[in-house]
Amino acid sequence: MARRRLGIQIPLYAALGVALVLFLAPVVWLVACTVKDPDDLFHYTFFPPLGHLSTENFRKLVGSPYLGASEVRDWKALAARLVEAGGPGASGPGRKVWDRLGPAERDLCGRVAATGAIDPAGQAQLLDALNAAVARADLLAKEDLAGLALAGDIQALAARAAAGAGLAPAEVALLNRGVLEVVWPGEIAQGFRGIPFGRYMVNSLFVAGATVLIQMFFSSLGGFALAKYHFRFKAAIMIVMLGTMMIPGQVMLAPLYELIYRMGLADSHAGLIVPAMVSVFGMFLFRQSMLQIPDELLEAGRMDGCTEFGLYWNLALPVSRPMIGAFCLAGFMGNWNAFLWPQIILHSADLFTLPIGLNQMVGTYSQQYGIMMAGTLLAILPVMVLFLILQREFIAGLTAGAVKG
Amino acid sequence: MIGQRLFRWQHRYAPYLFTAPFVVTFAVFALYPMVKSLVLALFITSGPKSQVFVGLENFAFLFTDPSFFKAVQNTAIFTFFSVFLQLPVSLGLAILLNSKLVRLRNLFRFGFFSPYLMGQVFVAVLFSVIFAPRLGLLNQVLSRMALAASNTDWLGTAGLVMPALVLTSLWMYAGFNMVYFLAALQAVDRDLYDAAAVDGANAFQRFWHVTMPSIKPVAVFVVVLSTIGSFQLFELPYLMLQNTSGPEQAGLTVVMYLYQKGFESGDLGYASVVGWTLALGVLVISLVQMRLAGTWRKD
Repeated sequence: MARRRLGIQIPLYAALGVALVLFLAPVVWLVACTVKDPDDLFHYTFFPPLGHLSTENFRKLVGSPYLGASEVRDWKALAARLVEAGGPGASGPGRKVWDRLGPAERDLCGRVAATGAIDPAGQAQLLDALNAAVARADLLAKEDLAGLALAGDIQALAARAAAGAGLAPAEVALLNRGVLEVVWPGEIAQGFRGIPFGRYMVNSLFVAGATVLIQMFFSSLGGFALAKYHFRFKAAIMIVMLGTMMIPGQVMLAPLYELIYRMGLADSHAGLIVPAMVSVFGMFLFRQSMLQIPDELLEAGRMDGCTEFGLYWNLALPVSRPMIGAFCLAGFMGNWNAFLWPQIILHSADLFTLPIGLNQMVGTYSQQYGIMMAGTLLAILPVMVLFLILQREFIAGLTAGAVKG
Repeated sequence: MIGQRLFRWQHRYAPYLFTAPFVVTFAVFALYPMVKSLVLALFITSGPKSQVFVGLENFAFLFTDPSFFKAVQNTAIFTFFSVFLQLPVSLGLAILLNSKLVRLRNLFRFGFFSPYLMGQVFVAVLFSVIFAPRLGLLNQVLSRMALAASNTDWLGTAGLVMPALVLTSLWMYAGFNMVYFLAALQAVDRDLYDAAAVDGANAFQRFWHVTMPSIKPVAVFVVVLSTIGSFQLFELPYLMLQNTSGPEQAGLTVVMYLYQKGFESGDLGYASVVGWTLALGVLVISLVQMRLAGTWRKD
């Protein structure tokens, strides 16, 4: 008997194992791509050896103004420039940086400028010192910037600093870094400032979170009415809801855009949230789960002077807690991944949600796979985490309608 | 006695107030646009501002536009292959996982289900890189196994775009459909198996005569759901093909056609016509499927 069991179990696990490998390979590869330097993308199919692991993709993604090891083009030349800037009679941004370096770093610069030899520990030491200088608000004075051909965004920051406006620490670092790029163009690569990824993340969290909370409130309220009250138009509302679920949303895409445009909600987050305030799917879910609340319980509540809204809030809502979990995840996922509607109504880059931002990024940086993969990984994490928390409720909610009906 | 009256009032009107948000949102953001799209269909528009009445010309143009036929053809091919590949794969996985001998069922389920959680946009970005020449995972694996050249440009070759799309959607939705089948399998009455075994049915006969009829309603549900989903295919090709319809329009779908006409060219009237055509197609095909499956008779 045990032998027969094993005879089934081994092929069973083999089949499941192969399937699991096939299903997970793309995701594992995605993670592997995020920790590889651009050069290593060619060398290793999956993960590089431990010593090659790199956080550069993530650092570039969030647009860190600080210098990374791979952004120094030529260590020997950079050290030479620093020593030169520290020489007698020198002035300008380079001199200011040199003044901030400690004696150990100055010695190091001297040695590297002479021999060109630098080990990773030395690189890290020098980078730390340079980045400490870059972070200082008092690094550069107005006259240091005179005559420099700064990039547009850096120029704007410099103008604000000159006007006496206080810059945020990140802006200070961005300004200093931008100046150094111009002063030593052959030694320091331009920082990656292409995508405000953090901004997209915040936008997405706001839009998806706000939409799902509003949807949850209105849908459960409507579902409660449909489950526990007899009133005129109830049958009509149910029929209309069923009908809406049958008609694909693309039918009303064009007129809806026209409407949103005329309401002045185009190119705003409100234009994403307002049309989606009530979810028909959610109303069905909540109605289903609230049907089982005994009428006697509601009557007893009314006898005690509880208002109808009080019954909903204190009785019906807590009872459907599993449904809230299921809807929370389904709704959040739907809004988090939404592409077509945001793509139609959002035009300003600072309003973009993650899918829209990532799509722009694919167009602009399609060759920089590592950064794209890092962006994708960060973008899918919130839903994955939410799923792990709400897994049981979600699967139950997903299959409840299908299996029973 | 104001309090008493107020209490009666709120009791009486509560259901109307509770459903009011739905009614208002529905009227403004669904009913009005639907009616309006019927009107818009009779106009050539340029953005939301300028409109010229053209009667049924939009419909006439739709049925003579070769791009539209290409879009319909692509969508139909995609729907056919993705539905009929997904069905056996997801049912197979569900049957394996349903075995009493399997431990770690939740782990496997999460593994198969996780691609769905990624969402179409992010799956599309990932697979646009997986299918890339040289660096892409698929080419690296295939060339290592000496099955294909490592510089095959899957998304740049007209004949390979559709297989790539079908493969991607299979990866993304097989686990999702599996969850439905697994729930259906777990709901099958165990007594039926025992009875069949007593009658001398072998494993295959038990599957064919007990399992299949029991899970048929769910299978129909899955087929209808994935057909409707496939009809609305947009994000996968649009992002994988870098916001184009691909070489020789190999990745043009009906919704992409709608998007290009309505929002890239700005003709909202024509987009409405495409939208209604799509809705009609979805309605007809789901009715036909349900009819074929005989679920009508039971209702």
